[in-house]
Amino acid sequence: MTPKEIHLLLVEDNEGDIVLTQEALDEGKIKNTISVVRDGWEAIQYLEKKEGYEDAREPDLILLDINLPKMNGHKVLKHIKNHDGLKHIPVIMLTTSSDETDIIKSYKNHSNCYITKPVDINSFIEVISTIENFWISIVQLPPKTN
Amino acid sequence: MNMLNKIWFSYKNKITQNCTDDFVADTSLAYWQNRLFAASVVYIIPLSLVAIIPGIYIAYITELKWLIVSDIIAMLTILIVAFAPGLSVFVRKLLFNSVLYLTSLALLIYLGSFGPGLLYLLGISIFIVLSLDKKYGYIAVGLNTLICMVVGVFIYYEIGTIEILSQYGLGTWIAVSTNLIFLSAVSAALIPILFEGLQTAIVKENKLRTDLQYEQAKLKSSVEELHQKNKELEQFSYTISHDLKEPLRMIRNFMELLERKYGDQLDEKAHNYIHYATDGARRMAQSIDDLLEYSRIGRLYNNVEEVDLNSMITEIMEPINSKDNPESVRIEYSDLPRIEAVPICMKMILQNLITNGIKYQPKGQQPEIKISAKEHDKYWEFAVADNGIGIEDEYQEEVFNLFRRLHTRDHYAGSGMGLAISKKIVEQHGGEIWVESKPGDGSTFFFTIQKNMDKK
Repeated sequence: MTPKEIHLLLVEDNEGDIVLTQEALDEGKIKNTISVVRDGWEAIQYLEKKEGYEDAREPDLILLDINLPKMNGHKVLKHIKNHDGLKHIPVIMLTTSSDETDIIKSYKNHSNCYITKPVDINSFIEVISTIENFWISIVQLPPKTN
Repeated sequence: MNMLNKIWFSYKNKITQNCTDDFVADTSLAYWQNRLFAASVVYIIPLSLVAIIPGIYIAYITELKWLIVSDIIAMLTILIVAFAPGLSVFVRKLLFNSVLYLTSLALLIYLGSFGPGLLYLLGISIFIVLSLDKKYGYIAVGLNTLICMVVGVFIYYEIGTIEILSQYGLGTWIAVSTNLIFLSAVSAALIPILFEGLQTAIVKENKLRTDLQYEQAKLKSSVEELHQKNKELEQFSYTISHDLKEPLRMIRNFMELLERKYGDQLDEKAHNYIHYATDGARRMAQSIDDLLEYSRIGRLYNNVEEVDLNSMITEIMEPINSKDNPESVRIEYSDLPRIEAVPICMKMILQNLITNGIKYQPKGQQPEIKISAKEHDKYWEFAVADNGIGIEDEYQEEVFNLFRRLHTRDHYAGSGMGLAISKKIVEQHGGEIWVESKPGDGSTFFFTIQKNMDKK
């Protein structure tokens, strides 16, 4: 398999988590670019290429937090999965919450998977690299439309 | 038949409406007195119609024309009492009783001992106490006495020519009339006592009823309050699990990241500092998790099912035996019962007691845990005994408190929540938990679980 480059959209308001995710992705073997948006509303603007995101590239994967300012992760997920031009993009819920209601709600809104952020750094890095490995080396993602 | 029924009901309703007072509560005696009065009027009209026709006929042939007049007056007055608009209930009662008096006087005067006059006088005095206030009963007794005296005077002085005067001598009259006065006085005195008793009973019952309603309302609002508190607690737990754990995760993660990326540039002291910081964060996270577990008992964990304790202990021991070197812990249990309990809670309490027994050991000693069960009438009693370091007398109650620890972390790790959680679980199961122990000689934790836990 030829090495691919992957483009991720990270929707996360916590600076610490953004840095950690980037660090974890840097440690992985797969080449990637990350775009970061810091609230739910901005995520929608990015995906719909509006409000300063006119040149945005469609991501291969979305990493979505739940506790977000302006528009929470559940609403963003619902928006993406109800949008004909966006619903093919896999959305991975990556959140602190291990709450049952959050998990059920996410899957009901067609989240592609749900991951609770591990508390120690080694597990966190392992999770991120597993995500990378699974979604890039194992899974066939839909071909880019643009 | 239907038509007759209708007429009867509208007739009855009309009279009841006129002869009762809407403003009197049905819990007071006055209400029932009014009802009695109304019912008397309702039935006396058709009954007196039946009586009056032969009465008037006989009066006509015996030429007692005044009797006819009094019968007609009586009938008209009763009709007024029943149907005239705008009269108060009290006035209607007075009219009704007065006309009965009049009739009985007429009967007494014209028919004498052949007629029911004396009987009527007694009847009225009883009816007055039944339908009016107690003082009117005494007035009736007074009136009866007065009538008897007047008749006595007439007899003595031989005034007039009416029937009764020729039938009695003074002596016989006094004998008859004192009986009347005696009986009406007795009824005037006794019936109100009965009524007062009834009234007190009604008032008492009424008070009980309102008290009960008040208590029920209070209970209902307490339950609502409890639901509210539960909701708040849920919100609180949610906040704890998200807002408190998030920054904690940051501290820990970046400390670890620091060590991971720059570890080779740091000296031993710096590594120690990082270790203390991460260890603190880890322990705080553990405490938060334990507190969350504590708050879930009885709130989220409340599904009672049948629990097989033997297989549960096997399940608990599996990771313990494989984590340390196998067979490092000697555990003894046999024939534990199947009980009704919340499975996750039973697992927590057994796990807590077993791991405590394993943890609090003198260095190098092989832990020995013995679990047994004893059946009582209404509950099961369990004992988890270990050969550990034991607990001094003065701490044997305290150990069940939240975050209570007896040792420094260097000696024995732990958040101090295990026994507090165990205590809450036992209380949830309607039981008790206690410990018997001697320092250096092991501890035995006892707990009871109520039988017949309600399945939810």
